[in-house]
Amino acid sequence: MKPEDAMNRNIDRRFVVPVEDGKFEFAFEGEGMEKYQLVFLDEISQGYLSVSLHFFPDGDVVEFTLYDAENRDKNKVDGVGLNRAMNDFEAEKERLFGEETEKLYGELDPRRARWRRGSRRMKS
Amino acid sequence: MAERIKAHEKLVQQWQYGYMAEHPDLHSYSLLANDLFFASQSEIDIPLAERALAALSAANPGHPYNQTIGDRLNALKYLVPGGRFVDFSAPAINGTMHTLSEEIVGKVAVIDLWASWCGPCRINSEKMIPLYEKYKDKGFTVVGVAREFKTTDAFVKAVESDGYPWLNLIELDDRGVIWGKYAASNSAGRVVLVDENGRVITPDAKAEEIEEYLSSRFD
Repeated sequence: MKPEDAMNRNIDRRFVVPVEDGKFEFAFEGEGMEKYQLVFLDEISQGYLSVSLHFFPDGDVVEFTLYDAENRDKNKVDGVGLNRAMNDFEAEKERLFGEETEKLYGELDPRRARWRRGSRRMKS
Repeated sequence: MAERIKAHEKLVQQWQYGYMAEHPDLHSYSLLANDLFFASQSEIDIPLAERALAALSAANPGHPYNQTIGDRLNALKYLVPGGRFVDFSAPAINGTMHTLSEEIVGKVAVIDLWASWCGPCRINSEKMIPLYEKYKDKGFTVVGVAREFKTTDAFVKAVESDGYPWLNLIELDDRGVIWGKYAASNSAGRVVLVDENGRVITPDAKAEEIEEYLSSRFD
């Protein structure tokens, strides 16, 4: 689904993709290039809609490596074009500001710092 | 501590906007969208965001983000005390189209964005009924617009049940992008109080604040 639909809770506007043997495939056809987000259906009701994995349907193949909600900081999206740009951006932002951000939020509230570590990879 | 965090976030924001200018692609556009949709109004640097939007929309002509993000930025810029209301047109239940500016011209007005499925919105709207009755002949009006999905059945029931005496319009399936234009797309409703010149008095008004303002103006 698109992030703006997730934000509006328009969860009807989504593609539902079955997972079989721990794997899934889905082909975008003529949907135009926008950012989408991927979320496990059974985690929507647990409030994970806002921290799901963002990606662009760019290039021939986009690869996801996904974990359960507890380990969501390990989730990964790999691809070319916009997905690579997204990953490069996040890495550079982390390199430049990550340590100071962690330090400041950690001083403010250790719980918030832990949450940031968990959600950092979800943001774009 | 709050000041140090604010200064740090400002630094990150400046770097991020610099990145957008250097890479005017759809990933950068999504960064701008993220900033405008999730940051609080006070955290947005409007001139910086306007420059980024100009560069990104020029680099991505015809993209749906141009309208979505443009509407959002417009709302963040103007829906502040002293700003100007955002005009829109929407149908009433009989299908007749109404334009907001024509309905509120020369009047102190409440623009009531609500939904049949939003309990708190309806409680606030019901509290405005006696205010409307008291001040409607003194230069006050209310225009409601309800954000509904798929059908208008629940809207009809809600209007009948709550007994709103003012004009109520329908925003079905976000066709008019009204919630986007009012920077309210992540919420059910918003109540904007404007004066007779269309200037925003308060962009998120409670019935009690409206009563206080009306009393100061008309009693």
